[in-house]
Amino acid sequence: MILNGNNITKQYTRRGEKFNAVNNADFFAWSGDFTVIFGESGSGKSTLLNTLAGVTEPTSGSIEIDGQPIFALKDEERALLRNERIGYIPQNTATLPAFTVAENITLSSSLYNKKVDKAHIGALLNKLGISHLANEYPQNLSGGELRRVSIARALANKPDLIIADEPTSNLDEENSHKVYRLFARLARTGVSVIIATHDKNAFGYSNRVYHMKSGALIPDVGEYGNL
Amino acid sequence: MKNTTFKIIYTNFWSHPVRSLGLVILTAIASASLLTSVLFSKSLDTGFEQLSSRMGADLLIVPGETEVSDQPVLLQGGLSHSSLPHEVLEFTRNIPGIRIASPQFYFTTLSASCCDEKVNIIGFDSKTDFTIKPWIRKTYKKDFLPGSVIAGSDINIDKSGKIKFFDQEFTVVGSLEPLGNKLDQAIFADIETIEIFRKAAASKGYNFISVNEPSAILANLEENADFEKISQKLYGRFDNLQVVPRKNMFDSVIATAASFKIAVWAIAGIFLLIAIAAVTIAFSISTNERKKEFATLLIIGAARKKLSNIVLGESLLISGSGAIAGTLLGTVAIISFRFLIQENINIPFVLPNVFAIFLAIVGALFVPAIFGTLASYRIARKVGKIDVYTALKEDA
Ligand SMILES: Nc1ncnc2c1ncn2[C@@H]1O[C@H](COP(=O)(O)OP(=O)(O)O)[C@@H](O)[C@H]1O
Ligand SMILES: [Mg+2]
Repeated sequence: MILNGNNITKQYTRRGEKFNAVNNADFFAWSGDFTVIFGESGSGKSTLLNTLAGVTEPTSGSIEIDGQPIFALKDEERALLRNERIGYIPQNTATLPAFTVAENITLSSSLYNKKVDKAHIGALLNKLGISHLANEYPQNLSGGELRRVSIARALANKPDLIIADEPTSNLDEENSHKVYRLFARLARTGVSVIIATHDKNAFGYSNRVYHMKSGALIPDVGEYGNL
Repeated sequence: MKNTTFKIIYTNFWSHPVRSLGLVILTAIASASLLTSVLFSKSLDTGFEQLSSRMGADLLIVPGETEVSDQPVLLQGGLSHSSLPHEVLEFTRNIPGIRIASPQFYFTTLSASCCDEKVNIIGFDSKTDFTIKPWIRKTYKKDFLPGSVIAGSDINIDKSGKIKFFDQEFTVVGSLEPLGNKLDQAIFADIETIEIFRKAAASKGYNFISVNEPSAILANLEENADFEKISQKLYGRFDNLQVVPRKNMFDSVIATAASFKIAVWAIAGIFLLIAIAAVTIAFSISTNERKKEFATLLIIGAARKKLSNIVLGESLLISGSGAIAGTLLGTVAIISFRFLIQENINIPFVLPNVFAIFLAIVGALFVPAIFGTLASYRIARKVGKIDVYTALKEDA
């Protein structure tokens, strides 16, 4: 799969003034890539990922998946694309509190009445170390556990694009590496992984790095770059 | 896809049971009061229709002491026991402009075999009557033979079909359809039967009626006849009577019925507004609380329309179940309390026909359900436009 973003701009108004949270960003990712977007808080990483994940329409520019501009699709079609091909782990974890952990994770399947691949889900929970929490309700989980639920939910439908916004922000080193290793393994199977992070540990797993500064996206050609 | 939507809707309903059930109860009250007002107004209309078709008289002559304005004696069946001098009838018939005049007799007796309570007896002159007969004719088509009576709908008649007053047997030849007032507990008889009754009473030592002294005279006028002139003539000749034009016979009934209707509709309207406001407020609070859930659903592949549908579905579940509960409750209430209502409001109250009841039920089911759902329509649209970034960022 090829993800291709051209001239992505997302404009917001802050105190009456317009500003570009994402400014003319060009982005490219290929199957099997492990891409890291590195940048300070407020630089526009989350906004960019929201557009790449098809949940926020950019003010201008285009995002294509395998040549298909995703914001040219009807909302229902884009929804299905998100469901089947994109696993998005947003920066702020949220769950459906009335559903169990297991139900939350399989929600993306049940949303379209698809059969749940129990073996796959079981393995996923295992790898993330949350098997024992399957029948708990989200309110009984810690921040780090919820984060891993959110990761499992994004992977449940075997997407070929994983977009993770600071996926390790409330995980300790050990668990962070677990997550990176999981992503790296997926990348080796052809999944394209994109993560936004402050965590320099992520670089060790990546083959493509972008820096984000005040909305501008700059490909890294130096120390960490591998273009 | 549907299953999950339903499950989300259902789960959310029960995740705040107090709030959800509170809204259901409010909608139920709105629905029940809506149904009640429709049936109530309809019942008043029906009762009034039956009444006015029966009371086809242009004028009514009653003894002077009768309080016509407060309590239209005849109409309500709140029966007066004074009578008119016997010359009044003849005199009235001879006034130019009077087309027909017919006497009626009202009295009450405790001495009835049928009933523990007092029975109202209403006598009419079958040869000249034009108000009671047409109405009796709906159920009883034969002649009014001496000794036969017709019973109001609430009079219980035993198998023999006989009823005894002062040890004299009378044959019940027919029963009337309900009127929704005290006339349902009355017995109707032709003047010749009244005479038999009088004799029976007299033989026991009671001399309380005379067929020459009617309790009231009902008259119809020629076209272009002047009511004022006619009443002047009557007042000029007799001291102790009142001449009541048709309009006034119904005045108080109409006024009472109208104010009842207004009150009942106002209450229903208020309940409906309260229910709609409550649903709107509760939904705007609950959807606001659940922004993150909606954003999450969007991320994992729910279309925006689905988010809206979840909100609409929740609203429909609440207002729909409220409407069903309220309609059931309202139907049961009005059917079981109708006798109580009849007794207490003292105006004609007759349940309308099955079709009208059916319409009222459909209205009570759909109006609150539709309004409740419409009330949340704007909220549903707003949820459909949710911005994932801000929704997820907010601290909850
Ligand atoms: N929906 C929005 N409305 C207004 N401003 C926004 C919105 N989304 C993002 N921003 C602003 O865009 C800028 C970039 O934010 P964000 O993408 O979260 O950066 P990062 O993820 O790198 O911390 C911030 O100043 C943020 O306040
Ligand atoms: Mg961010």
